Amino acid sequence: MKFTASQADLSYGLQTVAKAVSTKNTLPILSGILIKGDGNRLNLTATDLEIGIECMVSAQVAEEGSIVLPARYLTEIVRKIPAAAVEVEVDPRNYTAVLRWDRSQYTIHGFSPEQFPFLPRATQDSGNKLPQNVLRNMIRQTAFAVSHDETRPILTGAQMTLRDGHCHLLATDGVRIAYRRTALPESPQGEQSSSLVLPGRTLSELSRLLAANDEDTVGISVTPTQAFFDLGDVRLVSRLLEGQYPDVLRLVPQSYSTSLTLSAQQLHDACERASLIARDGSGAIKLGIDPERVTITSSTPEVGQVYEEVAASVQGDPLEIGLNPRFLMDGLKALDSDQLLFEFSGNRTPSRMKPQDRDDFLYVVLPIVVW
Amino acid sequence: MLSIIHCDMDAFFAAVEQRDDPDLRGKPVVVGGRPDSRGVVSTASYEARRFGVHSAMPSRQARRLCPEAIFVRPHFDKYHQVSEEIRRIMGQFSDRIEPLSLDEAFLDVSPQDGVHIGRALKEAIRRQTGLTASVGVSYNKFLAKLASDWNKPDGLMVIDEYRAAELLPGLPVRKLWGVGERTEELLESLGIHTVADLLATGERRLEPVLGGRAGELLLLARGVDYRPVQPEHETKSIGAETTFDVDQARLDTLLEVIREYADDLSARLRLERMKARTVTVKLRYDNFRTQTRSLTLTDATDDPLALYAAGEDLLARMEVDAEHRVRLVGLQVANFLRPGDPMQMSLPL
Repeated sequence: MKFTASQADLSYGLQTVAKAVSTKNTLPILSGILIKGDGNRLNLTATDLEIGIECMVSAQVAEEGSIVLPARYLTEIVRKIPAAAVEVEVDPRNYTAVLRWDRSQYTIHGFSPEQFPFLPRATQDSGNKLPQNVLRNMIRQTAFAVSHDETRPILTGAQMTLRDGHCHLLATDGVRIAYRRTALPESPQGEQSSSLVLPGRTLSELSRLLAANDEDTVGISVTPTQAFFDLGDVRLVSRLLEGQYPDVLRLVPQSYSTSLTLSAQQLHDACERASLIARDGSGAIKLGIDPERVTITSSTPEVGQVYEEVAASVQGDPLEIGLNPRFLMDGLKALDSDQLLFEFSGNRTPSRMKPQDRDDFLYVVLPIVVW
Repeated sequence: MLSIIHCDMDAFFAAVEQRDDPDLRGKPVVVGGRPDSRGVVSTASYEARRFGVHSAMPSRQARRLCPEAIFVRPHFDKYHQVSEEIRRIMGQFSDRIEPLSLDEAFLDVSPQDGVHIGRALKEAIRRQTGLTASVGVSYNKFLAKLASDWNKPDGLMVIDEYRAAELLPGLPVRKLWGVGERTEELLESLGIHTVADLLATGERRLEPVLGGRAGELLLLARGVDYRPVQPEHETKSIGAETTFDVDQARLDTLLEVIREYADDLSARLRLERMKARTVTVKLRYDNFRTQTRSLTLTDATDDPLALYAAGEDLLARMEVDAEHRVRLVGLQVANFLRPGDPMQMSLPL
C-alpha cells in the first residue's frame, strides 16, 4: 500500500479512532489501528471489542492495501509532523510502514491486517436519524447519572428506547434519574420499537464524536447485541449491556404535594455556594419551603453555617427536605431552561424537576434523611 | 480525689424541643412515637414526668396518664448537633471524656478539682446551649453517676468518702452498676433489698447465685469502682473470623461460615444501632498468604441476607487459590451509619 494524505486529515482520523484502542494488553493487535487504502480514501479502524470506531479520510492512494500500526506511536508522530502532507509506504512482506515528509523518514513496525477483528456492520439501516447536536445534548443531559458501581453492571449504562417516533434516553445510579426524550424527525414507517442499554463509556465517546450543529445527522441502527451510530465519515459500533434495565420511572411519584417555580440558575448558584461549606460535613443541605420563603441551610460543625433565601413561587404544603447539593447542580445544569418546576411529595420520597414549559426532560433525585 | 464528673443533660430531647419552640415551654412535652401508634416515649419533659410519664413507656399509656401532653416526633439530627456542641464544651475542660450516649458523659479532670470544674461546666453548657445539665462529682465513675442522678434537674451533687459511707447502705440494690431487673429479682429472692443487706449477706452466699459478679458487686456496694474513664474510640469496624482446626478449602464450607458470620455481625450491628456500608472478606491460606477483598454497598445495611450476599459476591470475585488450603476465613463490616447520621436514600432497584 502506498498513499499520500494531508497531515491534518490523517491526524484527525487517527485521533478520532484512537479512543477505541484497547488499553489492556490482552490482544497485542488491538493496540493498533487498521489502515485500509482504497480508491481516494483511507479507512481507519480501532476497537477494543467493546466499542469500535471507524473513520474515513481522503487521500491519494497510489497502491491499495492495508496494515495495522501501533496507535500510540503513529498518532503521536503524525500529530507532530511539521509538513502539510505525508507519504506512507507499506511493505506487505514484513508489515512495516515508512512515513516520509520533507527530508524525514520514519519506519514503524506493525501487524498483519489479517488478524485484525472484523468490525460488525449494521445488517440493515433502521432509518432512525437525529441531528447530531440533539443526540449530543441528550447524552449531556443524562449520561452523568449512570452508575459507576460494578455490582449492578446494567446501571453502568443508559437505556435508549426508540419507540413511537421518539428517542428516549434514561440513566440512573439509584440516587437520581435523568431522562430526556426527543422526537425522531426521520423515523421509519410502521410499528417498530427497540430498547437497548448503552455502556456509559460508549456515550462519552459518542458524545465526543458528535458535531455541535444540527446540519449533520446521526443514524442509529440496532441488533440484539450491538448498536451502530453512523455519523457520515465516522461510524461507531458498541456492544450493548446485557440484562433487563429496571423500570425506574415506575418508582417516581405521580402526584406532588409541594411545588416550586423558580430560576434554575439562581438555585444552582445557591447550591454551589452552599456546597463549599457543606462538603466537609455530610454534604447535605436543607431546603426549607413555606409560602413566605424558600431557604437553603446547612451546617458543618467545624466550618460554619449556611443560610440563603431563594426567590420562588410556592404551591402546596410547607416542607423541609435534605438534599445533596451536587446532585441538584447536576440536574440543574442539564435542565437547559431557566424556569424550573421542582416538585415534592414529602421529605422521604423522590422529588422531581423539569423545565416549567416542557415535558421532554425530567430529573428525579432522592433525599438525604436522618437515619 | 474528687476528679471524676458525670454530666447528664436534663430531659435532653424534650428540653431541646422546649428551647426551640416557646409554645412548648412550661408544658408537658413527650418526645417519641405518636400516641395513636405503637410507638414509645423517648423522653418526657419534667412537666410530663409529674404525671408519671417516663421513657420507654408506650405513647398510648403516656396519653392516658397525661391527656394534655404535647407529643413531638424526635429530631435526631438536631439532638446530634446539640450533643456535639456539648461535647465540644466538655473538651474545653478535659480531653479524657467518655460519652455514654447523646446526653451523658464521664469526664476525668484530674489533677484539677472536680467540684470547681463541674460547676464551670454546668454554667458553660447553660450559657452556650440554653440547656441545663445535672452534674455529679466523685472519686469514681459509679459514684459520680449516682451523684448526678441524685439531684436532678439542674443539680450539682458531690459524693466524697464520708457522703458515700452515709448514702450507700440505704441505697436499693437496683442503683448498683449492672444490677438490672433480673439480678434485682434474684437478690430480692434472697431477701436482699438494700446495699446494706447485700453487704450483710457476704460473698459466700452470693456467689452461688451471682457467680463471678458477686465480688464485683460487693466492691461497688462499698463504693469501690476501679474502671477508668475511657475516652471514646469510635468503632471503625467489626468483624468475625475463625482459624480452622482442619484446613478448609471447600467453597460451600466457606459460604456456610460466612452465612454464620453475617448473622452474627447483623446482630452486633443492631445492638449498636448501626448499619454498615463496607463489607470485607478475608482468607488466609496454609502458606500464610492473606487475601482480602471489599465492596461498598449503595445502601448501608444491618440485614444478614444482604451481608451474606455481599460476602458471597466477594468470595466469587476473589479467585480463591485452589493450590492451597484455607486456614482462616473472616467477614468484616465497616463504614458505619449511626443514628442521627445523614443517609442518602436510594431507589429500590
